[in-house]
Amino acid sequence: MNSRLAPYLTALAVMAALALVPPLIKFIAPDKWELTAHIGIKILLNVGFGLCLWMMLQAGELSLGQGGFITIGAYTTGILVAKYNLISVVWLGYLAGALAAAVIALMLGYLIVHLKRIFFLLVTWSFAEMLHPVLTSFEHPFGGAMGIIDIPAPEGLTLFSESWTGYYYLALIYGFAVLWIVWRIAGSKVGLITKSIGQNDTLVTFCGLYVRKYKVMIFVLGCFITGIGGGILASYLTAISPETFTFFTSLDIIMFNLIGGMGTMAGPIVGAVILSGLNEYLFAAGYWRMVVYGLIIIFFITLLPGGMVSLPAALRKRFTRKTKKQEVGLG
Amino acid sequence: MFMQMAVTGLVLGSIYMLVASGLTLIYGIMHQVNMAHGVFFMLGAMATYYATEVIGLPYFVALFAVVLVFPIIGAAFERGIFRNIRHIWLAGYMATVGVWMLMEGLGWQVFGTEQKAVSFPITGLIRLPGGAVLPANKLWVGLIAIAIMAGVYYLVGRTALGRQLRAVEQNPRAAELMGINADRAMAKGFALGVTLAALAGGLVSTLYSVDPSCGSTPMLKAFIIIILGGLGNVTGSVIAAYILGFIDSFGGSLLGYQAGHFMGFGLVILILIFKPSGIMGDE
Amino acid sequence: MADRSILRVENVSKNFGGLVALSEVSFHIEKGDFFGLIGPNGAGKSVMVNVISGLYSPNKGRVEFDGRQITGLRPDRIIREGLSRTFQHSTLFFDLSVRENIMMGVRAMADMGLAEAILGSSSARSKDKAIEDRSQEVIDLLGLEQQAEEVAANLPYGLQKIVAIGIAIAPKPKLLILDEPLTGLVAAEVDQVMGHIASLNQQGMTIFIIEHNMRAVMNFCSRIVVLSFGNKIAEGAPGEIQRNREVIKSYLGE
Ligand SMILES: Nc1ncnc2c1ncn2[C@@H]1O[C@H](COP(=O)(O)OP(=O)(O)OP(=O)(O)O)[C@@H](O)[C@H]1O
Ligand SMILES: [Mg+2]
Repeated sequence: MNSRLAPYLTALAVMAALALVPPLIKFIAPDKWELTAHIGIKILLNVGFGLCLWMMLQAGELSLGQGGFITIGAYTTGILVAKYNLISVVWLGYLAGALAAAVIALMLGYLIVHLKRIFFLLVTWSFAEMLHPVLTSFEHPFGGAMGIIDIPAPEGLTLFSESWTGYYYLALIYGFAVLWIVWRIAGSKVGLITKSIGQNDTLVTFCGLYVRKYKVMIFVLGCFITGIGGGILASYLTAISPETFTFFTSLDIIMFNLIGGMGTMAGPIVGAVILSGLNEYLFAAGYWRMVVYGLIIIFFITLLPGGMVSLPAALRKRFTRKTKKQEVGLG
Repeated sequence: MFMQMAVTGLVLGSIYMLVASGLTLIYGIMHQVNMAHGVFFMLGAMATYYATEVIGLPYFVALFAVVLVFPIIGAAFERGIFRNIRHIWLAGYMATVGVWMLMEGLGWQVFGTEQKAVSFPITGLIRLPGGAVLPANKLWVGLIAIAIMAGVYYLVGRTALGRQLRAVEQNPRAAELMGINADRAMAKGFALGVTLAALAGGLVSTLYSVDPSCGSTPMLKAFIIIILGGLGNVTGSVIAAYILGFIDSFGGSLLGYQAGHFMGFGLVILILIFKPSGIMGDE
Repeated sequence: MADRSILRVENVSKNFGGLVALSEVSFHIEKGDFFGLIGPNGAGKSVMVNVISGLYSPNKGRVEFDGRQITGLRPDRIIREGLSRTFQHSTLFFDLSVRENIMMGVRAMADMGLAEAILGSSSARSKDKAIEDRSQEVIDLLGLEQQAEEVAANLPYGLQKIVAIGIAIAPKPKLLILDEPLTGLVAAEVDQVMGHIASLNQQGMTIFIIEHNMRAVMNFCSRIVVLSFGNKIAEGAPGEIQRNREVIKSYLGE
């Protein structure tokens, strides 16, 4: 019983600690809170996005189109609650955004889950690329190149005197909810099936399981959750345009897994924390940002393919035995 | 008007053909989608600019210098980064993304943000039968691209290097058994592919002004083309390049850039789903 | 005919381009049989299993399993009808433990829904329990207790083959098709594996085995079909097969 509760208690403790961050910082250094909150919000949402991709990765699907599903969630929310005021409750707007992402993921996923590796990656990337011209070309309903403005905050968030404090808590709940869902799945029999599909889908078929169903299911769920995140981002940013979420958004989500490591769930979390934090600082660095980015990718791929979570083991190995290369991660 | 667009389509197609055939060659030999391809296009354009406008070399000498230098640059990248990881597909893909970011970022630092243009030695207008009037440089660029492509066909089809490349493409293991060093052949293939991109950059720099991100669009186009043509299929790419050239020329003039982008990627998805071997592939 | 046959293969042909891998092959297997399919390398034995199990669709002919036509069904549907198969080349989930490998075969896996998995409802818990109980049964049956938590990749080859059989029998199939379960095993392992298979057969499971190990085939099988270059060249009891001139010729490659 104890061991079953342990992960929950740990997660709750971490969540409580993170919930105490705002009052603490506001007490110690009030002028630092706004910036910290913005970084925290990015990190927590990105943890959610990274975990969704990790879950898909287990089934052998590497999507370079997650930025597209964030866009779909964000735009659906924006269109419904801001541009046309069709939905008056912002929370329902998020739900609609998630459903839109899920429905599109269902249609796309059904057609593409038989594609493997680079082909899956290319087709999801192409899908995300197709959104941009659609959004820019149509004033109705997408708002053309200007996009959508004045997206309201969800009801209840106005209780906080500073909006970023509210969004911080919202993102905290989002991040941990995704963590909970992905963790529950990973530990379940469905998670076992997913992992098996990533290893040998033919054998899964001959275990009497319909591989396509599971792959589509995981893809749709991942995009549904990502779509909610998109909705939250839409209100948080208050304005979105076709340029808000790009190829680099999708690439970042892969990077979280690459930097953190794909072997365990800790990987994308660690990766999201490091890269979202770094992104904030690099933002001001202009074109050096690309240089640093490139160097990070090359570093992790060539020197630490198992990601940050494999660092302790890699160091231990390096200092105990002078072995050459280690073969972890990146399947 | 129709002739005008047709000839523009041909010129565009010829340039796309250079970029795409390099990209598909690299995929065929190394099974790697080279996301850094656009960077080499950009470097080729920049090299041409500095050689002609800054150092003052004649244009064709500059192009020749590109042919001499870029194989070395390409081989160095292959040896330094890609060779060790190419057996892991994702690592291979991401490494090329890393090189792209790194080199484009450095490009902005080194070359600056202002647009650069190279002047072509042959100027004036050429009147074509059918009433089309075209700047001479555009026409010449198209012709040079076709000539280079003919050279590639000769190289791959008729020379010892080409035999090595084709052997490795079909089966690296078997090629090794035949005494071909697959690693070295892959380095040569990569060098060749990258040089084609750089040459395309050198040619385009006389038509449009260039900056450190100028490789992105040609790279995207080339990517669409190689999927349409069937990954690794050079002739498929040549045909697809002209198809896309015409789509861009006619479609672009009639429907706008956005529609072309949408249609290109839409086509990619359809091809990947329903006919992954491309328009030329069997089965 | 109120039929005792569990599998009927009728006029099955399969071509790959110009290559005729199977040509008008027909045979049937009775319930409870220990059936053997033999033939020289490249005869089309594995292709036959792939056609039966739905991985390939035949160019001609039909397959009936337990009174129902299964040609054209999706492979996973065919498996759920009560037919299991193993692969010639050791095929496992190499990064999973032996226990997880065997769980994957358990029938109840297919019933687990996403929502109940996330929420951990009581229905999910009872399915979990059914899956765990059944996999434990199979582990006990095959004597894999010692290695149950071991990662499959680290097992010796012989045990990997046994785990593969474990995955296949976990759903309690009516028909078990084994594609060369003995290849690469040492004598002691051969006896062990054949022992397991024989006892499954005694408990009523129909066995369809493809093997090059003639001693095992002749000792255990009650009926044998011989394929050569995609054609059925003989059928009968072990004794008849051993005396059949066609068979001897095809094996000696004359
Ligand atoms: N997917 C495929 N595509 C093309 N040819 C195939 C395919 N599968 C099998 N073949 C060919 O069909 C023929 C029969 O192959 P099969 O694997 O059934 O032989 P086998 O009887 O199982 O031999 P072995 O005892 O060596 O396993 C062979 O010539 C093989 O090359
Ligand atoms: Mg076989």
